[in-house]
Parts: sequence; C-alpha cells; structure tokens
Amino acid sequence: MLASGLMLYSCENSKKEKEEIQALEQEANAIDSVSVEMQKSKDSIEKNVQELDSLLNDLN
Amino acid sequence: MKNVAQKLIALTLILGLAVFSQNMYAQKSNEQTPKKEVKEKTEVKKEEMKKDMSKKQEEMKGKSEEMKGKSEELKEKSKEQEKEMKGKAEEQKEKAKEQEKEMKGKAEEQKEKAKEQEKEIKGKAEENMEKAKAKTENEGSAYGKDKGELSGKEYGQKRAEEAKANQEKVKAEHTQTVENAKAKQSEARTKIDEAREKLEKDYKAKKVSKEEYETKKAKIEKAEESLRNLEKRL
Repeated sequence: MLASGLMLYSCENSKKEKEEIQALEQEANAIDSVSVEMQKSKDSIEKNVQELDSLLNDLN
Repeated sequence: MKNVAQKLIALTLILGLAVFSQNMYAQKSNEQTPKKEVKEKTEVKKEEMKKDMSKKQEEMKGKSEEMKGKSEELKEKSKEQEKEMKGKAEEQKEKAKEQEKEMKGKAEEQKEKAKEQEKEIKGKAEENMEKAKAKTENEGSAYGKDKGELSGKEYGQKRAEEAKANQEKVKAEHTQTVENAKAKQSEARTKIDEAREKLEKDYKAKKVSKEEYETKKAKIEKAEESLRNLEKRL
C-alpha cells in the first residue's frame, strides 16, 4: 500500500513537472515566434531602406 | 443911342452869363465824369471779381468732386483689399484645416497599420507556436532529454528567460530600425520632390533632351515606388 502510494505520488509529481516544463517551453516558443517575426519585419524594412538609398543616390 | 448901349450891355451881360453858366456846366460835367468812370470801372471790376469768384468756386467744386471720387475709389480699393485679405485668410484657414485633417487621417492610418502589423506578427507567432507545440508533442518535451546538469524544469525556465531577453533585444532593434526608416522616409520625400522639380525645370529650359528626361523620370518613379513601399511598412 505504502509502495503503491509512493509510486502514485511520484507519478503525479512527475506529471505535474512535465506539464510545467511543457508550459515553459510553449511560452519560450511563443516568445521566439514573435521575435522571429519582428526580426523579419526589421530585415524587410532595412532592405527597403537600403534599396531606397541606392535609388536616391542614382537620382543625383 | 442910349438904348442901343443899354441893349448892348444887356446883351453882353446875357452872353457873359451864358458863357459863365456854360463854363460852370462844363466844369460840373468834368467833375462828374471821373466818378462815373470810377463807378463803371468798379462795376466792371466787381463783375470780374464775381466771375473770378464763381470760376474759382467752380474749380473748387470740381476739385472737391475729384477728391470725393478719389476718396471713394480709395475706399473701394481698401474694401477690395480687405475682402481679398479676408478671402486669403479664409483660404489659409481652410488649408490649415485640410492639413490638420490630412495629418489626423495619416496618424489614424499609421495607427491602423501598426495595429495590423501587430496583429499580423501575433498571428504569425501564434501559427509558429502551434507548429512548435505540435513538434514538441511529437518529439517530446525537454523532459527526460539530455540537458546537461540542468533538470527539465530548470532547463524550461532558462529557455523562457533566454527567449524573453532575445525578444527585448529584437524589439529594441526593430524600434531603432523604424526610427531610422522614418528619418530616411522624410529625407527621401524631399529629395524626390526636388529631383522632380529640377528635372521639369531643366526640361522646360531645354537643358536636358527628351531621352534624358524620360530616363530620369523613370528613376524618380522607381524611387517614389520604393518610398511608397517603405511608407506601407512603417
């Protein structure tokens, strides 16, 4: 009884920890996704600025 | 004889009297003549003076009419100027209002764009998150994986912290990029407008050929398009 109780307790603990770890990973992934999109937007703006700069130089 | 003498004396006396009275009359008439002349002259002068006066009065009236006319003209002009000024002021007010509206509109547009971008980024992030979630579920989480000396929970916490730090860094860089791009945007607008104006002037002054004009115009259009793209992104 005691052994099975301990086993059940440890199983519950490990399940809870697993859920917490998964939540943390999901949070990290979500943050990473936003970062990736921001980086893409930034890169795109920079590329546009470079292109515009080059076209403006061409006007002179 | 005595009678004759008496008659002669009487005749002489009568003649003398006649001559004397004639002389007196002549003298009187001589005295009266200058007075008449003076009177006449005075009358003539009076008439002349009257005529002069009336002439001058007429002249004065004319001048006064002229002055009145000029004053009316000036009044009209000043009224017209006032109207013109009012019109211009109204026009400027209208322009200012329009500009204000335009600015407000642009600000609203930019806000909308920023919201859309935010939504887009969030949407994409959610999509990516879903993918990552699916991947995690398929491949299994960090739980039970090789994470060196860290436990699964510690590893997860570290990952989340690193992701947050990285996001802050990317966010700051993105903000800086947007600021720089905005500065470039206004600089580009000025340069493009100036280039277009110069090109039109040069072409009108025949300083550039039709071919050169077309080439430069195409370049300006290209730069304008690139600027519009940038404006959409900001």
